[in-house]
Amino acid sequence: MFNLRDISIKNKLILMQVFTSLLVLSIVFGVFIFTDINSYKQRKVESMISLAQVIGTNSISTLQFDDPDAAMEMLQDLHNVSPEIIRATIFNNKGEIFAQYSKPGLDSFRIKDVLKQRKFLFSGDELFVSSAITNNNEVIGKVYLDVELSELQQTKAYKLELAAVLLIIALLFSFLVALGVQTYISRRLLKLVSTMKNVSETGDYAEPLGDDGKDEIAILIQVFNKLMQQIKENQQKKDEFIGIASHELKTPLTTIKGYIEMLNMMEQEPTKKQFVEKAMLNVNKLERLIRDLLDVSKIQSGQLRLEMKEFNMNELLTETVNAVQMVSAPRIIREDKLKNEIIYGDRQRIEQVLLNLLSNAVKYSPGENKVIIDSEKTDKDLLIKIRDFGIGVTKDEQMHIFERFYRSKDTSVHFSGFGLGLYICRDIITRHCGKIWVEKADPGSIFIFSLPLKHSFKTQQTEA
Amino acid sequence: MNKILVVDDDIDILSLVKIMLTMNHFDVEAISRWEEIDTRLHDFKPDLVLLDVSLGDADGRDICKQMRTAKETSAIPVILFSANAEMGKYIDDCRAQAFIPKPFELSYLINTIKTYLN
Amino acid sequence: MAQVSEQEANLKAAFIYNFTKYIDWGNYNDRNEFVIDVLGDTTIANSLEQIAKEETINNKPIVVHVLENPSQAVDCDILFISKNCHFTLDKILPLVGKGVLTVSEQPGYARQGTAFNFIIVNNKLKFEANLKAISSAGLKAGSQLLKLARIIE
Repeated sequence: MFNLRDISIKNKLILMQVFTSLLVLSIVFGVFIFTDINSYKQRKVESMISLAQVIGTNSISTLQFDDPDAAMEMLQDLHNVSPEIIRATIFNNKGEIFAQYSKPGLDSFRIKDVLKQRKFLFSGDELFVSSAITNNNEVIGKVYLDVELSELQQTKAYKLELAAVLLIIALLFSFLVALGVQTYISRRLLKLVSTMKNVSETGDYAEPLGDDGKDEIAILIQVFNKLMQQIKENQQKKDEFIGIASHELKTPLTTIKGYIEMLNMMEQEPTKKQFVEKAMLNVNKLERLIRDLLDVSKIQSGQLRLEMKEFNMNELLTETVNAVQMVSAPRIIREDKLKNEIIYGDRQRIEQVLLNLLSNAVKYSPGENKVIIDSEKTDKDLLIKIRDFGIGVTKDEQMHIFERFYRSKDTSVHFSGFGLGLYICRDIITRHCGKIWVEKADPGSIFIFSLPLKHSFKTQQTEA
Repeated sequence: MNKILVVDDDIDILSLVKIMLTMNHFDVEAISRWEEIDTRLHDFKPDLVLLDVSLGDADGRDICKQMRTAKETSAIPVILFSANAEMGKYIDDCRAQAFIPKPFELSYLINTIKTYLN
Repeated sequence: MAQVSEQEANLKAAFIYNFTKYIDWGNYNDRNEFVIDVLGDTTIANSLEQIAKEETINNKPIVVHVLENPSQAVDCDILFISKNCHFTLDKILPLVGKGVLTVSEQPGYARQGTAFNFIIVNNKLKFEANLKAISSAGLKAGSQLLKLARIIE
């Protein structure tokens, strides 16, 4: 059942106006027609009664001299003058019919009892009137007229038809006017709604909505603008804060890292060296975390900029695999068929993606397990696949692991980190007009990302 | 032996870098106050300058630009370094040779310096 | 001559009474009474007497005289010439002055000069009216009355 509340404001306004018009016009027309018809009837009664009185007066002599024929003639003339009078009867004071006229084809007069008390009666299509014939205050007879009201019916029908036509035209007109006028209210509202939708979808707290009204809609828009402004400011503050914080964090970290690195080089005693190595590992972890945090903040405020250049993917992969292999136990096996594919992109960021995926794969392949790298090439894209043999990613989680701050729910595998790595990877790959996703393998999982090959990239745009 | 001038307002980083570079057989002078740069450049005549970008009330990039305009210092290679990775984009703008983000690996620092020492 | 039946007399008396409602005597009857002279018939005089007891004409009481002789008909408003009257019309009419409405009940009398003359048509009592006679008498008759009469020119 169609719900009034769910129809658009625009349509509500139109419906409201049209309905109001319909209601008002119906009432007005109704009242007018009603009073019109009533006054017509009234006039008819008055004129017929007058006529009856005149007849009565004119027939006094016929009654006095008992000349029904003369009376009949008069009644006949009456019909000729007023054809709507289909029957006329004169009664004498004994209640007997003195003279009578009926339109040819009709039966003769039937007096209604009610009429004996009243002077007129509307019954069906006919009007009955009576008038006493008095002479010197003495009632010597009565005149009864039977009037047909076909004219009335015609008028009624005509008026109703006219009213109906006018009503339809008026409604149409009202509809058109409403159509135009409703924009005064709905346009601003709809614009606000679409802007809000846009903002909530794109997260782009852009220009404030212009509006110079003073009504509630204007207030709505102003508050909305204010809120947007606040959000924008908050974001800016947050970004500033993260920027400053990461800068401030990195400075002492530089010192820590530097000294620990030197200590690592200098220290040979096994236990101490182990300690130092542990510290080193974590300093690096800390460094990565801070860097990721900063990246996420940049991504969110749209400040992550890519430096696009051409580079050799095979070279990059080799470098990266070597770097990761140096510090991980599982063997990284290259089964890919990369030769000299050229990618147009931000080398540093792609390196970041590779490092992220490789270190994840290594992390999630416990023990001596291996990690296999594969590739695939279409005429447009290059796909890199990184396969691990760990616990894999469940179907449910596949949807969510690329989200910010998402960390695997499986607590049997405890790994630290903010859960930002894959979020950043996805952003970088998407900016390169590629795709990144994960598939389940048996066992383990395969992380795959695609990048457009140099020639096909040129036909696509990327946001800097 | 090559002479390196290190400028950074953080004392700890300054001494860290000095130690690192000295360990790698460089002749190092390290200053934390940028006002002293001119005298150092004049007196010490370094072969390369390692310049922090955020020097309190001064900006390493502007200092680098200034160095490029003066005849005696225009040829000295400059490496900028900063905790803010964005600063790397400005090396062409102020005509520095390279950029090292903080924190850095010791080996990366040494290799970069060696690369840009003419 | 046959006597007029009482019923008929009553009817004619009623008619005569009703005539007066439509006749304008003008200045001609300034008497205090309305005088009807009946020539020759007592039956209709009786009927008129009955009416006189209850009604007035022109707000004057009605006085009915029975005459034997037309020369007695002076100062009356209506002169009724009955069937039983011995005199012929040519003897009567010259004696009748202005302001007198002459009413008769014999066929053809209206043509001879009476203002109104009762006739029987289809067993119904009707009357003839002689317009000239009426106007010669200085009287005016209402159309309501005349339309019911058979007009004699």
